[in-house]
Amino acid sequence: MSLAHNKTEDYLFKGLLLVGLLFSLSIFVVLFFLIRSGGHFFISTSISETLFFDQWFPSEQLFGLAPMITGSLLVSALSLALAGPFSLILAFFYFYICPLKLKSALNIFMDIFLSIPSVVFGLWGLVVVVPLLAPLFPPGQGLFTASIILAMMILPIGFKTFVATLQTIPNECLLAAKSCNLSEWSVFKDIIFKSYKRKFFVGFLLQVTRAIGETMAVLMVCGNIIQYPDSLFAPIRTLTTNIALEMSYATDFHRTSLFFCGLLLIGFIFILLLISRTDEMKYEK
Amino acid sequence: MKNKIFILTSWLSFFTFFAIFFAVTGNIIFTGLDNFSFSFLFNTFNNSGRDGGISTIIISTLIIVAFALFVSVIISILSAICIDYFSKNIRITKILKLSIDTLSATPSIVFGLIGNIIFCEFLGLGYSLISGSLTLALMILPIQTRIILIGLNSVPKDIRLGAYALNLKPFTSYFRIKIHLIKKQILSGTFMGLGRSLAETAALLFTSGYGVKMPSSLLDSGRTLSIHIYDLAMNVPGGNENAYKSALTLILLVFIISLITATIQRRFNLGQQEFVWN
Amino acid sequence: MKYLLILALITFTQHSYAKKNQVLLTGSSTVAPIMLDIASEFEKLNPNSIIEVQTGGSTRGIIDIKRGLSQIGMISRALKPNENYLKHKTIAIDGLGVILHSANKVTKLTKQQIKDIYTREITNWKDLGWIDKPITVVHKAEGRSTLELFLSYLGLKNSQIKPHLIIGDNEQGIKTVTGNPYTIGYVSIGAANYNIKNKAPLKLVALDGVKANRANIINKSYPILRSLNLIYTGNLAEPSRKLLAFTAGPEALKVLERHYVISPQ
Repeated sequence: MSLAHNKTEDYLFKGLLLVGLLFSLSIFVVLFFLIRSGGHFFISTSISETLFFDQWFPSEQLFGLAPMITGSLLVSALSLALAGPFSLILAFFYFYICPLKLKSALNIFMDIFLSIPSVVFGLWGLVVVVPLLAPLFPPGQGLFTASIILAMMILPIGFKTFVATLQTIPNECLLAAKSCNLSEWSVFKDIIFKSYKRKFFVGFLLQVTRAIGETMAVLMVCGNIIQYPDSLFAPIRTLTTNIALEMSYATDFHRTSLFFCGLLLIGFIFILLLISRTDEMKYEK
Repeated sequence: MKNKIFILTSWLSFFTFFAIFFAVTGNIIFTGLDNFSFSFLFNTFNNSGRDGGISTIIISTLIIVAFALFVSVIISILSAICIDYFSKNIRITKILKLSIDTLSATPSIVFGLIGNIIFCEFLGLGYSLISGSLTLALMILPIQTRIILIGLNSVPKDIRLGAYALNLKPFTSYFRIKIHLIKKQILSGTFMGLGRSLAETAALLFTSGYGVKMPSSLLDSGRTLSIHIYDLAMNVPGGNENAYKSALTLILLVFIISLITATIQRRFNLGQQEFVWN
Repeated sequence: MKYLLILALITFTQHSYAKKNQVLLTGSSTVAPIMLDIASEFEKLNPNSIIEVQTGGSTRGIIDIKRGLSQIGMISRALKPNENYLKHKTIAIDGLGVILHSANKVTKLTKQQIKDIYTREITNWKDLGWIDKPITVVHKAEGRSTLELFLSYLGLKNSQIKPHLIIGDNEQGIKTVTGNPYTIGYVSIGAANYNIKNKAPLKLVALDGVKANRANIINKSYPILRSLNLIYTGNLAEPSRKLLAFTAGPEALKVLERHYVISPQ
């Protein structure tokens, strides 16, 4: 293996580096194509016609996205309310209270739960949960059902993030707490929660990011009606399910509107990412 | 007193988690095992999926995933090397890392849109296995790049110093030396990508299509197991039974993959990855 | 090792250039199951051909032909005046039926009643002679010609309909109605009958006194009828031409019978 200077290898490396650079920056390629296909919609409609308008009937040239945006936000918020605190308490349990033997079991099962595909959750929701709710709260598919399924899906990520955060607590801290004979509740509330609030917030943000982006499981249980939900159990439609449902037959202008939905989604998520990053950076300083 | 309630609640959360876990997996496994026979895996598709088996679908799934991993491993190695190369320049590294992170947080349906535009239309590949694979490759790129980057960062300082001392060109130091040191990470990343690809549906809806025949090339259309489950559950009356059987097959596959991934991570002591993304 | 892989990749993709024998049909979810069966009969007699059928709605059928993504489109309506650059072949006549769960005691509905149900003027089954339970209204997504047909029959615009659930394909609609006894939906009569034969707990309602059966479709007394068409542009490759001719043949007619649609003769 010669280590001599080889000009071709230089060029080869530069070329490969360029390829690597291209793919590292592929989000910009993604954005470029999204804007290319969805920009037309953005330019030719006004905010009051789309973001704050509530009628979506593409065949009549009505493109009100407001119900879908509301649907996405509501279902993510609700699933966070269900899964967020739950995953935090579970993480604390794993970290502090759980006996060693059960720890590995919890870990393994959580890993498996994490890897279950979204369609399987959707299938379970459609066949088990919807018929349970339908007689009580017709039609059974709606905001609440979607939130439950979504909560189950974002639970493992929250758990893992919070456990990772808890594991960064310096050991001296916990030893000191134990030596003072502090109760678990006290440890959680006064020590951990106070200092790591910011990091937990980031964990919650991560869960919301995942929730907003989920499509399949929500598609199967949300009812897909374009409306502002008038009750907890009303059917709704989210930005993601809107894209999934209408993409296959959308014509020109309708199609650009769906790409615009995609842009909106990336926009939301980018904002959430930025918020979580600035929080992290502030904390580190 | 508050403490007792707190402890009780946390134990309750523990049991609730297991209750949910077994409710879902138990339902899938037991309903899927009803009338399950191995011929299901080897028979061909029939009657919109109500009868027959999923052999062609399994083959399509394997092809899509294998090709996606193949492409993804290559480009993620290159991306990781790129980020490592620029690691001295903090600004560039920040931008690159933010790019990759945003990519990993992008919803799968947006990848479906992109895949449709770039691969199906712009490159003219139509609804095909290759469109699906390339879209998947883009999706799992961030996961693999992160792991390989961790690997590159953990290359012992001596090696870096030695390469610098010998005045080695970057090509040599990366491709002849370091790449052999990060094999574990590449392997681990591949399995994580594998797990993710198998579970993916939304990105493939508009790229690889709904075809059910045995694919004869990458340009044919084919559906994966997850799309098949979706189609049976939503669109085919009487399809629930087969949907469950397919779901059972899928979660068994995914379960085996996660086991392998966890074993690799433990054996090679890759430690608790900062597994913040899916 | 690397070179072997690259070689394999090249050969793998080359093979697909034998796409000459492939025909892709996309479009109406009403026509799709029929064409799927006709296609498999065709493939038995012409083993080298590969026919693929995908749904997506009649609108998709038109768009894919326009964009050159498919060879033949399937639509469950007649061509509109602005689509006259396309050629078509009618393969069957079908009707649009209103479906209910078989446990539902209601057997006939008038146009006005259906209008009221879909605009939520009537919201409870007891107003129609059954039990005191709210009606769950199932409606089709846009782009489906079944939807357009339904709207024109009722004389309503889509924005006036207030559904509880929106579905895409016919089969999805059937699945939803069979899953919940308090739902009402509308699908192709052929699809409904096919599923009824397959033991689905479903039934078709008599519209304005006319039952949704074969005789009433043939003698045109049933109020909502439409033709199922295959559409294509001028230059058709040979396998597509053969397939089109096949749809009038004896094996195809048997398929039409199995799917409860009427042949155009």
